[in-house]
Amino acid sequence: MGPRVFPVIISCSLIVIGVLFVIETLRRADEAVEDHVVEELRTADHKQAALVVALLLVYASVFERIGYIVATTAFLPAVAYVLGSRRLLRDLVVAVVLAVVAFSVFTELLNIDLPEGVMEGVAP
Amino acid sequence: MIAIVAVISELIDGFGTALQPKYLLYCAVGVLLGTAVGVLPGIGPALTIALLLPVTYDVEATGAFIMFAGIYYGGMYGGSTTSILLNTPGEAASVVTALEGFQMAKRGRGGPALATAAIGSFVAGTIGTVIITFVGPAASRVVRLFQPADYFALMVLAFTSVGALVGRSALRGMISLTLGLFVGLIGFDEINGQARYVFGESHLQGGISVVLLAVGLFAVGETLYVASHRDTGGDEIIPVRGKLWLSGDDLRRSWKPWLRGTALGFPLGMLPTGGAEVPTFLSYGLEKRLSKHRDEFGKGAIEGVAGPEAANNAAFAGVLVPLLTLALPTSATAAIMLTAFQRYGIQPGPSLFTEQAPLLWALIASMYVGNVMLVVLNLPLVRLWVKLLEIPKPLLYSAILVFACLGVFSAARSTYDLYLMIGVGTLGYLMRMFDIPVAPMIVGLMLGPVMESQLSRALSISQGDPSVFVTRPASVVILALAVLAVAAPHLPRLFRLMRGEDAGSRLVLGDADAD
Repeated sequence: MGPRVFPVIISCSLIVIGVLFVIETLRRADEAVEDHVVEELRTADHKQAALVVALLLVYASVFERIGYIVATTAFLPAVAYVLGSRRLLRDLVVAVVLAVVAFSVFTELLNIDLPEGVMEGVAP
Repeated sequence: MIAIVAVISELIDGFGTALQPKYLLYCAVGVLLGTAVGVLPGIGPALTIALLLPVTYDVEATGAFIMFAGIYYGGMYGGSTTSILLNTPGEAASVVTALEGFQMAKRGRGGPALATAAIGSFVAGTIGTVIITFVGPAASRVVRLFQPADYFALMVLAFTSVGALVGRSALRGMISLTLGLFVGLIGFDEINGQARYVFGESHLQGGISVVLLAVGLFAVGETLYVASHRDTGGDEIIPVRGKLWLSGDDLRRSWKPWLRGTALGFPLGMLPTGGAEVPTFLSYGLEKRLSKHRDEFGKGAIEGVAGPEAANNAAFAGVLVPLLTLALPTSATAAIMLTAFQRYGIQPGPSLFTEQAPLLWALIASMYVGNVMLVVLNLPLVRLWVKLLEIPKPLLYSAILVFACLGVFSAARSTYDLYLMIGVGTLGYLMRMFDIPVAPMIVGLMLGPVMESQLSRALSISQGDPSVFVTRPASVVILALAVLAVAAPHLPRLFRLMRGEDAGSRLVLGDADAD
C-alpha cells in the first residue's frame, strides 16, 4: 500500500462528511444547536480573543531572544489585563514568582533548558 | 480456577511494588496534583497529564504511570467539586453532576453532595479496578488471536461509535474525528517513510504531537473562549455547608445509584464512545426515572449526583481495558496516556500483560491504592480545595496559558511548536463557537497512524485483496456492529417513515433526560 492511499481515503471522508453536514443543515437544522451557536456568536467578543492571540504570537516570537523569565513577566500581566484584571502590581508579582519558579524547576530539577535571553548569567 | 489464582498472585506482586513508600508518594502526589488542577475550572485530566508530561521525563515508567493514574482519578474528583460548588463543570464528564449537585449546595447540602460524589467514586473506581484485574488478562488472550484485518475493523467501529454517540450531532463528532485523522497524516508515514503534508518544513516532519493538539485545543481554546466572554459576570462560589458525610437516609438513597452508575459506566467506557460523557448522562436519566423522589430532581436530588459520579469513575476503569489490551484510546485522556506509554518505549497491547507484567500489575494495584487515597485525602481537604476556586479568573487563565506554552516548548524545544499551538488554539476556539466537540479530534490523531498500518498489513497479508475484511468472521461481526452504530440513532425515524408517519427527531443519548 503506497503512501497515497490513506490520505485519499481520509480526504474523501472529509468531503463526504462536509457535504452531508451542508445537506443536514439545509434540510433540517438542529434548532437547539443553532440557537446555541447564534447565542455564542452574539455574546462573544472576538476582539478580546484576537488580542490574546496577538499577545501569544508576540510571546512566542520574543521567547528565545529575550529569555523565559523576562518574556513571561511581561506576558502574564498583559493577558490578565485583556481578561479583565486591573490589579497590575499583583499580576506582576505573580508573574515574576511564577516565571522564576518555573525556570528554576525546569532547568535545575528537570534538566530541561529554557532560554535565558537577556538574563543570561543573572538567572538563578 | 488456575487462571484466577495466577491473577491474584500477580496482583499481590503488584501491591508489593505499589505499596513501597516511593510509589505511595508518587500516587499521593498524583492524586493531590490531579485534584488541585481538576478543581480549577477549565482544566480537565487530559490537559493535566499533557502538561505534566515534561515533569515526568526523569521519573521511571512505573512511577510515572502510578502518578498518571492518580492524576486522572484526582482530576475526575476535583471536577465534581467545581461542578457542585461553582456550577462550572471542568470537563464534559461532570456536566451532569452540576445539575443536581449545585442545587444541593445552594440548599445547604453541599457536604452530603461532595460526600456522595467522593464515596461513589471510590465504590465505582474500586469495582472497576476489580473488573480490570480479572477481565484484562482474559481480554488480552482473546486479542492475541486478532489479525490486522480485525484490528482495522475495530478501528472503524471505534470511529463510527465516536461519531454516533458524542455530542448532540453525529456529524459534528465525525468532523472533529476526521480532522484528527487528517492531522495524524502530517509527517513521515510509518510504512513508506514518505513525508506527507510537510511543505518542506523540517519541524513538521515528526508530525504534530498529541500533547500539542490537546494543549492547543483545551488550554488555548478555552482561554480564548473565556477572553471573548469576560463580561458575562462573575461566578458565585457556594460555601460548603452541611456535614461532609452521609446520613443514614442519604446512604440509603445513594448506594443503589452508585452500583447502577458503575454498571453503566464500565461497559460504556470500554466501548469506543469517547469516555465518560455518555454514561453520566445515561445514569442521570436512569436515576430520574427510577427515583422515588422524582419531584426533587432539578432541586437537588442526591441520586442525581451519586449515579453520574459513579458512572464517571467506572468509565475510566472501562477506558483502560481497550487502552491496555488493544492500544486503542477511546477518550482524549486515554490518547495522551498512550503517548506517555510510547514515550517510555512501552507499546500497550496484548503483549503488555506478558512482557510488562510487573509494571502493569503495579499500575493496577496503585489504582486500588489511589481510590483509597482519594477518599482519605480529599474529603477532609475539601475546604482547602475550595480556596483554589477563589483564584481570580484573569490570573488563572493567564497562568494556564503560561503553563501551556511551557509544556509545548519544553516537549520539542522549538518556537515553531508554539506557533502551531496558537493556530490549533484558534481552531479550538472556532470549534467551540460552532459547537463541534474537540475530544474526538485528539482520539483521531492517535488512531489514524495505527489504522493505516493495520490496513496496510491486512492488505499485504491478503496480497491486496480487500475481501479480507468481509471473509474473517471476527471482522465481519465488528464491521456489522459499526454499521449498527451509525444506523441505530436513526432507527426510530426509519420505522416511523416506514409506517408512513411523520419523521420525528433523531434519538440522541441522554438528551431527553438532561434538559
